[in-house]
Amino acid sequence: MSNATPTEGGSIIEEYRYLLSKESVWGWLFLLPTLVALAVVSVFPIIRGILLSFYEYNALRPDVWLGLGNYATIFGLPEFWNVLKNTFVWSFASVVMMAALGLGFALLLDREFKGRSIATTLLLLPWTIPFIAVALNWNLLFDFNLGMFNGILNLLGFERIDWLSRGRYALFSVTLAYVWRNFPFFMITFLAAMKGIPQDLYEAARVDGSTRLDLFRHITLPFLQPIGIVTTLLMSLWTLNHFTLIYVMTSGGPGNASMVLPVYIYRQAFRQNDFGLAAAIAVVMLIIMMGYGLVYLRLYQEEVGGK
Amino acid sequence: MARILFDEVTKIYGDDTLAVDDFDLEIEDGEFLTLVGPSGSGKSTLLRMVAGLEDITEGSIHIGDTVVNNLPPRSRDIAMVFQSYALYPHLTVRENMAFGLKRSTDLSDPEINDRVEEAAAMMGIEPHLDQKPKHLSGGQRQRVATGRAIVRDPGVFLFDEPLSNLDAKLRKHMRTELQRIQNQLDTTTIYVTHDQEEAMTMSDRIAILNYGELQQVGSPRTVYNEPENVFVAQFIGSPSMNMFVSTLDTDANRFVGDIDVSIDPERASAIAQNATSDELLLGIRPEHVTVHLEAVEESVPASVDIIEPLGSNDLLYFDLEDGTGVEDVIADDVSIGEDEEKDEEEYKVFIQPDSVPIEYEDSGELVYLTFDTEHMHVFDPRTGENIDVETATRTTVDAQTETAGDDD
Repeated sequence: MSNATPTEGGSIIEEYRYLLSKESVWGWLFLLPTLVALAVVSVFPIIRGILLSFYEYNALRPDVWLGLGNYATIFGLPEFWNVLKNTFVWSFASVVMMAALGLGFALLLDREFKGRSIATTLLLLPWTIPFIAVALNWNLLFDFNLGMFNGILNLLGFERIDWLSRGRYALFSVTLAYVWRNFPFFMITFLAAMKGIPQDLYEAARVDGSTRLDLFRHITLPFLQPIGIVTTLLMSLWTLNHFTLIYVMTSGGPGNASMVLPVYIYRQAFRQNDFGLAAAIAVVMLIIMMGYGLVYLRLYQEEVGGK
Repeated sequence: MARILFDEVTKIYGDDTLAVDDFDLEIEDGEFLTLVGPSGSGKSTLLRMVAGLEDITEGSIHIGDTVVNNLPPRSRDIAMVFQSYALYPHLTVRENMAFGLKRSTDLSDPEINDRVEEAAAMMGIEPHLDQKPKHLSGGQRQRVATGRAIVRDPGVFLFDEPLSNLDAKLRKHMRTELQRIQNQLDTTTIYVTHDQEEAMTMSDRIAILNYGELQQVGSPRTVYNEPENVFVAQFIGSPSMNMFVSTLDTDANRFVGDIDVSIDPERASAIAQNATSDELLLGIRPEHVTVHLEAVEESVPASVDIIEPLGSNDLLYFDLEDGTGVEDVIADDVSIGEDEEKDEEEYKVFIQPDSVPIEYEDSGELVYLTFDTEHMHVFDPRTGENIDVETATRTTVDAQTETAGDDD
């Protein structure tokens, strides 16, 4: 043991001496590869992105310092607010639907029945399909002439709908495809949590006179709450960030009817050739997501930590 | 309050796992009955069938005058305490105790609160009423679980190994607490345990089970003093009964073999009549063996294995020269209990502390044993039955008759 090992209640000087000791240097050396990798793939792009947001930047002209000019532009654009609203509606609706579907199927799969493992596999399958394949398949399902949905409407005697090209249907259609692809994540986490609920509690509650609804409300739900909160946080952040499905299915259209922030940032950067503005939107998005994450975790700590 | 009747109850899990086999038993109103047996004996299954947590394959269970086979647990007027306590972790102690009352009665909130506080006072948990279970110790959780059962004032209490998660001292304390409460409330109780000591100390009657079959039911003293078969003899009593293998010589009225003892001619001929085998098992409890340092009349030499100090007395483990293993003579289909199957003929005797010098341990130095044949049981190794019980009972009856005659 090195003499430089810090003692409890030791002075700051002793702690610095420890940091520079031989033992400590070896520790830092072992950490170095990870730190370098993190800096290259994570820290550097974030700092570069933030710096970029203060410039007018495109591939053709030299950079021009704008200060907060890009931010002023964004907040003055009506379409930005519209895109922001779309992003929240899409994220909120997706997460709520995925959680509800996931919970429903988890409750079904938690029961004993013949063919349960096959049903579980089939229900998990969407989660394994790449987004690009999901997008192409659902484009076919929503196709005006050949799609299944219009086929059903036709059979029932309703008019066909232009799902992906009519303003109010476009966002709904991509949400549906996204929910189908991602609900198994909720399902499997809920199912895992349900397996961890002691059966004794259900039995005690049954002896205590509980109905099925009581069992769900007073035993199942409280046990699912902690994992539900964490899963919801993760899925919210993933959904806010999601790009592929919307880009392939509608590219944010018609107009900006299904436009969400990630696609909007891409369009500003690579279609409008305005990397500075795109970077500023990305910074705004980063702040929103960090704020959401922090508030959510605080609520989680109050809710679960208090118990 | 209610009596409970098991009428030819059978439970088969899946296609062929027989958990309870044709079980008949009547439990009186207000009685404290303990179901005891080793793991897999079916005792918990029986309790869960009474609770309605397990379906009954055949037969019927009556609580009071009602057949409850098809009633859900909430309609059976029962309360159950689980081994794990099964306290709702997100509810406070008060809410845990009120949970059942809110669902099974029409009582108002203030009435429920009064009942909860009354039960909490009875269990000594009032200071913890507003705490969550995770902040309580094991003993306190056990009290809450019991409190949650008594607050409902049910017709029947069901206890599923409720003390097995507590340390030895607390377990003993809670035994008396539970007995006190049961006496106070006079509620019919079925108590499941694998701990025969718990069964002996708490119950009005004990039902001993093995492989889903009822072996014997009776008061703690009856099952201890008059075990009907070799399984009950081995299972009840700690340390367990010594089993010696000997042959009955009816001419000499003596047992000859592991131990040589003489018995009276009448008893010898009764045993000979009941026996289906030459070699018989002689069961003698450790307290009915006496150790001498010098050979005396009718004594059997033995070597000392180990002497275990227990406090008020010591337990001496001994070996017999050429002792026959019980498993060598017992029929394959006769169960003698896992402990006996596992260990190599461990014979035990209680002695006064320091009455045998410690140097005798494992030294080859011999001690001499005599046996109290009055308290000796004789089992048939082919059937496992106690073939001496009738004689013992008749002896008691004869003695009583004689005493009555004397009084005349």
